[in-house]
This record gives sequence, structure tokens and C-alpha cells, in this order.
Amino acid sequence: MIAQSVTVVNALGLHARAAARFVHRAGQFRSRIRVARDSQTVDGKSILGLLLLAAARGTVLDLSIDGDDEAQAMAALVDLAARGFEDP
Amino acid sequence: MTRNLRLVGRGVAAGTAIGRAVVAVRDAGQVRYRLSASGVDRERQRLKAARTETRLQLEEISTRVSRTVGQAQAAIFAAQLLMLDDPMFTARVDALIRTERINADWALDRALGELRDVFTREGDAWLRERAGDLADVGGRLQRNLRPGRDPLVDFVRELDGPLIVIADELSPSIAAQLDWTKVRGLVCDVGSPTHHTVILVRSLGIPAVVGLGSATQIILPGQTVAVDGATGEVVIEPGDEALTRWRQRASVAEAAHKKLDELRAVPAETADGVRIRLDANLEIAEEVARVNDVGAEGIGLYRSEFLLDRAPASGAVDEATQTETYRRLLAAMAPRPVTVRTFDAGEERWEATARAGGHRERFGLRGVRAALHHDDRFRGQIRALLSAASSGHLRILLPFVTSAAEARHARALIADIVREIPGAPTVAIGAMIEVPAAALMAEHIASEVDFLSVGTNDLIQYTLVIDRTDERLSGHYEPLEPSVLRLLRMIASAGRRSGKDLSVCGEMAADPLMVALLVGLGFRAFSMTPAAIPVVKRALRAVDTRQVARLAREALVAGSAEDVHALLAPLAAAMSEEGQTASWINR
Repeated sequence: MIAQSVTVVNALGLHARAAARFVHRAGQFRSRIRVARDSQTVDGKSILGLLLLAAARGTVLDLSIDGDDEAQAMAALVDLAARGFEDP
Repeated sequence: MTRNLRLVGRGVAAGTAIGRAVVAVRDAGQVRYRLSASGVDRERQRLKAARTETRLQLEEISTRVSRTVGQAQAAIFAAQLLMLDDPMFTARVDALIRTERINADWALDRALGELRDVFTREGDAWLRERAGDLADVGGRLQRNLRPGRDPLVDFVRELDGPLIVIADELSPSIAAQLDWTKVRGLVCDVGSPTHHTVILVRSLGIPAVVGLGSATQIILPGQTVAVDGATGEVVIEPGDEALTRWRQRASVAEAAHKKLDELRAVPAETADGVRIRLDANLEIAEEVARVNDVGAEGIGLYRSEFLLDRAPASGAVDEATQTETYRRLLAAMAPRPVTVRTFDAGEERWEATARAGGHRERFGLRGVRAALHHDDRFRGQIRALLSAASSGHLRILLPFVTSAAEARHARALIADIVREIPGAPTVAIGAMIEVPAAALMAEHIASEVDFLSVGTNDLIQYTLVIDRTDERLSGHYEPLEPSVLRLLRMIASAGRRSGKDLSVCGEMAADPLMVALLVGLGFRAFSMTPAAIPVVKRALRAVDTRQVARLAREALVAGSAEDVHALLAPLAAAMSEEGQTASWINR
């Protein structure tokens, strides 16, 4: 299992469209993906879970990924977060 | 688990029944039931199929929106698609079906409720909006569980009886489609004795209790429920003692029924030998056998609008289907008369949206007004009736007439159609007297038609300004208000002076005490729910017309309904002592 923190950088935060892109990307990997904010941990492949985190700009999210493609998954998701979830 | 818990509501259709609870809420849009082991697989399959269908629909919408509106707008549907496959949602629904053994509709509602709670608890306005997206997906998924079908009707078809339907409210359109050989009792949170659904179940001999407030929350799906539609009692998970009591009541009812059966062939007559005609009201044409069983002299009121309830959502029912229905009904009753009331449906009934709710009565285009306004619908029904007329003795009754001119217009319209149909037989045309305006002008209306029929339900409603579906007003619905009695007296006098046939066909006619008073006011013909005929017939045999005429005269000058009740108290007491109804006359 590997873990890494990312910061939400896009203006609108982890809103529905951004969360949808995250879940899309996460769904491409076999590994189990967890996303945590403070004490709340949700399934990274659940859009409802991500929305519940209500992560505004500046929020720090802790990713923990476990599985045979965990390294690729982490790289892809960290990259997505760094690019502001592809928000225009 | 609630055991042997007793609730008391308003008993509106007599009889007893015991069965398993099916709970239906949101005007039967959602059904709750506990599944058997084999039912679990069926429901999981249903969920899977609905999910596939929902996904296809959302993909199509998303493609269309991205092409016509823009990609940004289509993204919301992409999010909805992800919600559809979300482990917190559909997997949870599936788990609820498996572990709690509940049907898919119910499981879906519970899962949505859980998520909604979490989303709204977070207190974020933005998040609450996302709950809206979720509700949107959930609603679509639920509709796809039983596409194009009424969930309760569909569900009852799959279950084994005996069942008791526990509903917040049950619309007549759903009630008319239910399989009442499986549903043996009805319990509703709201309702009144004159609601169309209650009229329907009473005519089917199905016990019903209404006005329980929160029966749908107290009674759990799958629980055994005992219903007594006379006392208004509902017992959840009845113990041995309650079960024994219910069996006793069933056998008492059967014995009383046997005794009444002996009167079947005897004509209805008062103690002083005045002949009274007792006809039956009918809602569903196929139920005509019940009318014959009780020895009705004819059908005094066939509520044809129930045909619309069984029609597709559009509310349309074609002429050929109508002709066939009328033909069979007329043939089954021949040579006795069948009075068909033309569609008495408000505007909302003609629109598919009516099924979604909006049951409150409105002053819209009703009855003969609607007929004159949308005359193609009316013409179609008249053509169907005239085409069937040769199969028996048909009478046509116009609902909701408010003036002599309206009756004259409708009659002229019918005459036009008669000319179009070669060899159409002459058919008697009558008018319903069911609004105060018609009661006040009954004599003039009588001169335009062949017979009059009094609709007491609406007459009371419009005289006292009571919306019958508003439970807050149910206590004010009072047939014995002197204002109502005075209007009834005017109608009876107009009928006698005109020499035209006159009968009473509202719910008042099913109550022996009311019938006695109506005889006193001068009425000699009644049409009622079939089950009431033997009861009324027996009661009439103990009524002396001169005595009840005296009572009626006193009632007409009474100052309040309470005073009228007091006047009738001795008669009521005598009637309730079963088998001793004859004694009150000699007191």
C-alpha cells in the first residue's frame, strides 16, 4: 500500500464534474483507492463519497492505494489533482 | 416487533379480513413488501434490468445534450451515470434486498433516504444540490423498475393472497385495477366514506378502514393484519384471542347474511304495504353478478367513469370497447333497467397527470358541462350506448346538471345522434340532481327529462361547502343538516308534481335510518351499493310511512343536525336491535 497527500488547487474545489473525472480515472485501475480528509475516509471510486468530502480549494486530501497497479494509479491521480482536475 | 397492537380508525366498508400487509405510499407510486426467498432473486434481477435501462437512457441524454447544448452541460449526466454505478448507492440497494428481504422499490427508497440524510447533514448548500442529482437518478431508476405500469397493481399480481393493502391514500384509478381476489382488506391513512375508492371496495364486499393517520408508518410490510370494516379496528400481528374474535365475527356475519338471503325474492315494502324500489349501484360492469345475487330490481346507477380508470393513462376508452361493455351489462340485467350515468369526470381525470396526484375537487368542467364542452367525447359515449341499447333496457343519466337549459342542450345533442343511427331505440334520458341549483329548480329540470336521480354525496358537499377528500372537514359532512333535508324535500315534491320517476342514489340510500327518513320525505325508489340492499329491505319492512312522514316534517323545521339526530334516536335505537326493528312502531 502506498500513500500520498494532494492539495485541491482548482477554484471550484472537488465539485461534481471534478469528482466525476477523479472517479473515471480511478476506475481504470484494479487497486483499492481510499481518499481521506481529516478523519473522514471514502472510496475513491465512489462519486457520492468524494462529494461528501466537500473539498474546497486548499483542502488537503490523503490518498492511499493498495493493489498490483497502485504505483500507476497514484501517479495518475496525483497528476490529475495537480492539474486542477482538468477544470478549464 | 409490534404484536397484537390495536389501531382504531373509521370503518367505512363492513366485513372482516386477515392477511399480510402490502404497504403503498405516494398514491401507490411506491410499494413495500417483505420477500420470500425466491422473491429476492426476482427483485435483484429487476434492479439489474432497471439499472441497465437507466444507464442507456442517461447515455442517450448525455450524448444528445453534448451535441445540442454543450459538453459542460452534458457533464452533469456523466456524474449521474457515475452515481448510478456508485458502490454507496446501487450496491447498497442490492444489499438491502438480499439482507432485509425487501422489494427493490423499498430498498431503493431506503438507500436514497440514507444518502439524502448524509448529504443534508453536512449542511453545505452545494452538497444539498448534489442530493438533487441523486434524487433525479433514483427517480429514473425507480420508474424503470416497472416501466409504464402501476407498481401496486403489478406487484399484487406477483404475490399470493390474502393481502391487506395499507395505503396513505388510494386513488380510484389504482383501486379499479387491483386484483381484489387477492387483496381482502384495505387500510388508509386518509379518506372518507364517500371517497370513490371506498364506494368501490364497499360494492366488492371488501372491508375497509380509513383515517388512521399513520398506518403506513406503524404497520410494517409483511406483518399479519386483521381488519374489521364495521368497527374500524385494525390489529397488527393478532394473537390467539384476537384471531378467535375475528373468526366469531366472520361467522356472525355469515349467519346474518343467510337470514337476509331469505328476503331476496321478497319485494321491498314498508310495514303499511307501500312498495319501495331498490336498485343497485355498479362501478365495474363485470361485477353485475353481485347485483343479481342480492335481488336488485335494476341498476339505478352505473358509474361509467370507472371505465376510464381502467383505460390507459391517456384516459381514452374507445367506442367499440364501450359498446361491448354496455351490451354485456344490459343483456345480463334484461329485462330490468340499467341506468348508465355518462362520464362524470372532472377535467383532471382526462389528463394523464391526474394520476400523479391532485385529488382535490375543483370547480372545473364537470359532468354534463364537460359533455357539452368536449362534445366529441360525449357523442362517442352516446353512440356506444345507443348501439348497445337493443340488448336490454337502457336509461341514460346526465350527471351534474345545474339548470333546465343544460338538460335541454344535452338532450338536443343526444337527439342529433339518434338521427345518425338508423333504428336506434327510444331511450329514457334522466338528470342527476346533485347541486343546490338543480334541487331548487328540480321541477323545471324534470320537465326536460324522463326521470330524476338524486346524488346525495355531491348535494351534501355543495350545500355545506365540504371537500370530501379533505380529512380536516370530514366531521362536517352531515347528511342530516336541515338545509340538506329541505333541498331533498323540494326535490321529492318536484318529482311528485311532475309525475316523473325519481330515485336517490347517493350513500344516504345505503343507510337504513336515512332511507327511513327519505321515505318520510316522499322518496319511493333508491339505488345503493349491492351489499346494502338486503339490509335496507329488512329495515323497510318495519317502517310505517305515516310515522316517518311525521318524523320528516319535524326534521324539516329542526334548527340543527343535532336536533335531527335527537329526533331519529328512537328509530336508530330500534333499528340497531337486530331483528326487533318492527317494535319501534308500536311504542
